[in-house]
Amino acid sequence: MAIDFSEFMLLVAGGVALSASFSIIHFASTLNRFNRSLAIFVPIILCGASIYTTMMLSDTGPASSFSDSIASSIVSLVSLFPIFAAVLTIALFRITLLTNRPVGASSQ
Amino acid sequence: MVVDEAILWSSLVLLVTGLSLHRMGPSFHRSRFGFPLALLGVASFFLLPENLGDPEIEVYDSIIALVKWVAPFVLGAIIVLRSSSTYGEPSSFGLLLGWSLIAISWIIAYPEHVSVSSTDVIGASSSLLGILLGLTLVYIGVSFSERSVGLESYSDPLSEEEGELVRTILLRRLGGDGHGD
Repeated sequence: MAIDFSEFMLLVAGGVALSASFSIIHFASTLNRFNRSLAIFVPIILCGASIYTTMMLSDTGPASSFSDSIASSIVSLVSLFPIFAAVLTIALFRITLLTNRPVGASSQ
Repeated sequence: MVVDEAILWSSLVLLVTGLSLHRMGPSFHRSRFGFPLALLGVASFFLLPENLGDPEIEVYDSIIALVKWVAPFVLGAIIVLRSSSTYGEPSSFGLLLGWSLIAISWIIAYPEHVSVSSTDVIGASSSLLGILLGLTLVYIGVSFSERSVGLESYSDPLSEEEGELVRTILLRRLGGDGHGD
């Protein structure tokens, strides 16, 4: 029914690694003269910390622990999509029902 | 096998790079490479990998399973929004078509997600917590670095030609006779 603490930490570290990797790729591809160079160090440090945490908890090498943690994070994120879709469906339902009514002159 | 795994991760990197470049906007010339790069990433993700390792095959299968029902859902949502009076031209046919696509997507998704256990939900929530934590820390770091560095230089004042262009745009948008009336 529940997950143990090390598994919880692995998943959190995977999530941090995923968002930090996304930020690094985003910073690198959108690099321009207006960028503040300090900003890119935060995701690099986060990536390093999450790799270190995963290595300590799973006793694997840096490359495999990094790919494992990101893979588990992507799979977990994908499994949450039905919840996002359910929220969107309710919002679309409201838009369909509430906004397709004729609006009177007195309506605000 | 290693090559296929590298192709899978490279395709995801290409996709994120393409989206980032696309979001840079037209003032940066390289933004025009965004869409082709993202398309290349999607194509290489779906077409090239064959013999993948354990973590990569999980990623590949979960994304393929996701696309099967998210694609009709997104298409249906776009059609519903464009057929509602708030966001487009009201159309009963459009609403019917959009809601049919959304219903089809739920019919496809339901059997795959009906047996979700509480462990899966806790695991997914832990991962989401990590993602939100990472994004929050990156946001704090970016805002700190933006505040710590002052203005490098002030921009030059508008030239005569630029001032005339701004005046024309404002007159066209706000009206008036150009003399404050």
